[in-house]
Amino acid sequence: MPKFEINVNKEKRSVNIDPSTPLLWVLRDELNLTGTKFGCGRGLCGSCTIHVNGVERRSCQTPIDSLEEDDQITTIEGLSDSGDHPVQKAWVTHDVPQCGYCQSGQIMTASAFLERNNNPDDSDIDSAMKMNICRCGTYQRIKKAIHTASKEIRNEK
Amino acid sequence: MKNKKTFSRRDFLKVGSTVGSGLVIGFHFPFGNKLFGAEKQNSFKPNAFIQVLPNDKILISIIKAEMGQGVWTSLPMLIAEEMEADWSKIEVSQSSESSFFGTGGSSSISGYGWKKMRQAGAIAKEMLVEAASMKWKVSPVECEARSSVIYHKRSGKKISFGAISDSAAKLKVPKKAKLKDTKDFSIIGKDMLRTDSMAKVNGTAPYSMDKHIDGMVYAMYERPSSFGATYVSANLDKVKKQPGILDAFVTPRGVAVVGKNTWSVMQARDQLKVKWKKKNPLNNDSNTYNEHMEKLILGKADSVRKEGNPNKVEKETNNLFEATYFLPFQAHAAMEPCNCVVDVRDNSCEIWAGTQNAKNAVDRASEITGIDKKNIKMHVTFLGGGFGRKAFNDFIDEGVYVSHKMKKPVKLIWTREDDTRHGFNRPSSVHHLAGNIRDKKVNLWKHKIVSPDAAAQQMVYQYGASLPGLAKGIMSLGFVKRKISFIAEGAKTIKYDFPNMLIETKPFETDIPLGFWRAVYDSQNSFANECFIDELAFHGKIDPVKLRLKHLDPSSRTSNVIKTAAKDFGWGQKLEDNHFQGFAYHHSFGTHVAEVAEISISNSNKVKVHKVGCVVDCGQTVNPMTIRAQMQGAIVYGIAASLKSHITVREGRISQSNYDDYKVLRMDEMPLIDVRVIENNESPGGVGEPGLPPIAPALANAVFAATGKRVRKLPIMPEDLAA
Repeated sequence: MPKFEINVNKEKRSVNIDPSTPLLWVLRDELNLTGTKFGCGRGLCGSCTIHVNGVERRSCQTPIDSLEEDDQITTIEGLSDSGDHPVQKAWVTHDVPQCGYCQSGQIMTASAFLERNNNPDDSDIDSAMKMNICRCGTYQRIKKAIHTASKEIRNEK
Repeated sequence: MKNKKTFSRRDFLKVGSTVGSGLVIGFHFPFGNKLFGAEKQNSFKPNAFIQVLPNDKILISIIKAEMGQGVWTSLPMLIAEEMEADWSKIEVSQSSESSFFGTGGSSSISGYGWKKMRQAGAIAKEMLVEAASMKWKVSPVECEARSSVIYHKRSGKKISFGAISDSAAKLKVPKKAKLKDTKDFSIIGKDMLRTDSMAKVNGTAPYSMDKHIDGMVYAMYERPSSFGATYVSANLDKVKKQPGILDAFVTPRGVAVVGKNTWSVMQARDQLKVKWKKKNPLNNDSNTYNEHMEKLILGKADSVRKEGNPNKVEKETNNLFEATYFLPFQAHAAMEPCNCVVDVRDNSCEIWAGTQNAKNAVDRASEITGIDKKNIKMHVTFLGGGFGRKAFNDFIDEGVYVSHKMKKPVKLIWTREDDTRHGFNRPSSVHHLAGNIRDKKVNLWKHKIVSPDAAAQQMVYQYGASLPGLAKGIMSLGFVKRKISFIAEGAKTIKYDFPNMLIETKPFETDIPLGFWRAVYDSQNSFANECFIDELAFHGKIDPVKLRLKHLDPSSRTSNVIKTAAKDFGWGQKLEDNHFQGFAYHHSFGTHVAEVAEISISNSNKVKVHKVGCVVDCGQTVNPMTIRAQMQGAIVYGIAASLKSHITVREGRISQSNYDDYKVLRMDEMPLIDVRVIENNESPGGVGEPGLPPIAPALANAVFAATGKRVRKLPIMPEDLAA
């Protein structure tokens, strides 16, 4: 098995694995970073969303050998030190999660999107978030939480 | 009465009393269900606990599984209220003991939580107060507990729950304690943030999918290619040679592929070729199933409710109006595909699973392995969505088979495709409605339901493991003889008092696996009920809301909910151009819900839902925040089932596979949902399911208002609205 060195949450990790293995399964099975969830395996639901160099990416559609050596991977575990990223805080304030399974992916998509646009309107949020499914139907609170987080992010700058 | 006595004697007991562990009260949380009544307690074994630690922390373990419905918050609120506990000191954990009916039927609070959890809290408080009063040598009636502190007003003394907890642990547990008057509630009925949010935003919330055990292997199954098909042969030797693969073998559930990690197993499974022998199952295809229903709807059926002289009125009337409605199969499509972690050893077994039905899973594991139930330990994890699917433990069986054979801990994972193709669908049904209007009122109402009964199909196959032999026999015979059938739930219980009424059912059997889905029967019957009353209103040139109100006691909760929704959401008022409203009401699980859907139709005939107004009366509220979330969630779930998704079956195989062909609602299709919760002190109803039944008819009625087209078949697709 070939050896891969990847940068996950600011740490260098090395794994011996089949090159076609999606990053999702490297994170979950090899590195025990299970906050990134398996939902559909086909890039349809967004549960497995992570950041690669700050941009949201579906980890189930990212084979490990497609990564560049200096790519920086961030998972929900590395988004903040203690769950205090403005998006995470807003999620708690607005009581967003229900079953919670999709929320890592929702938060990773929202936090990358807010890096690009820290003053979104409702339709910006719709376009950014429509690739992330929530079967509990928490969308309305997600939208509110994104507005709240965007305010905090703007104030920080 | 005899039972009741047993209950109070054995309901609460002290567990352990070592100094430093504080006060621990164990209690048994029985499960009521309309199918079986309350569970009888033969031997008292606590399955839920309150522990007051000397450091003032209060640990509460709850027995209902948390699947997003908020029981980790609402049930502890009931305890904290009666206990006069400081909410910030409460920590919640999952108890994994369970009994016959686990989590479902919107019953966590309406079933037994309401009284039982409060009683447990009240008893804990009484013991703590008693201990404090003994310490101070004063009467307990002079002491008062507030926010985890006990006060003696006269002497100015005070002590925290934690500080007195070890002394309280030495006292006898009272049989019963006085409950608070509802007007004195300070926690119940208030918006309370969820206790599990932080774990769910930082990636640490425990789902079974995330469980890791050293030495664990990974497994997937290839299941029969069509319902009822049996194994003939497979290229197992080739599969076993694939990289990372440890074994491949046949089990009663299908062919298992076991490997070192998920990806190896997925790839090897792609190489697997299995030959199956097809059974010739009954109604195993959407076409033949539908044809069968079309035939049955014209034939005889069993009467389950009759008022007045419906048949005579039908014969004599000259303005009979008839309509036939169709509902498709629906999958659950919870975000977390079925999975479990199982570790079978020589004489013991541990299971980690997000199940709505823990005891049943243990019983089944015992049957498969021969291991005594006492030695099987279930760890109920969070569920990444349940919606009724995870009341069925077929996926846990699969993990048990593999771990038993491999003698290793195993993580058994379903792909999304497995989850869509091998679920237990909400039945597809046909409803024939007939009625007439006389003097601007409904004079005749006939509703004939043709549907398989999900409970009948599953009772022995799925739940049989938990039923004692005699009960198993009685249950199956009951279903066979149609003494028991639930397909009229929500049809025979319709709230309108029509003078001449006939509700009939025609259950039938199928090999297509069916199960409970959010609001199951009520979701089917309310579509027919609430569309047909809209049709009759149009026919009789009466406003549909007014027609409903004519058949209700003006002081009833139903009438109040309907009037409030009409008023609050501008029923009959001028809307934005090209916007149209539809109205529906349904009562289920003890809760009344009215919904007003506001839609427009796009140029490509797509229904756009702009707004849904929802009024809910679920009696005494516990956590209004949860209630609003549940109504929103049920509406979102119901819109998808009304406008986007359906399951079809082709020669014994589900045609859909993933979120691209079983489409669910996404952010950009989300309407504004405005939920109003009626406040009263009626006994609490359920909230997980009742928000769902009204949305489909509200949308269909709005579509009629917009287009003049009556779409009597779900989901409503653009082609149904094309000119």
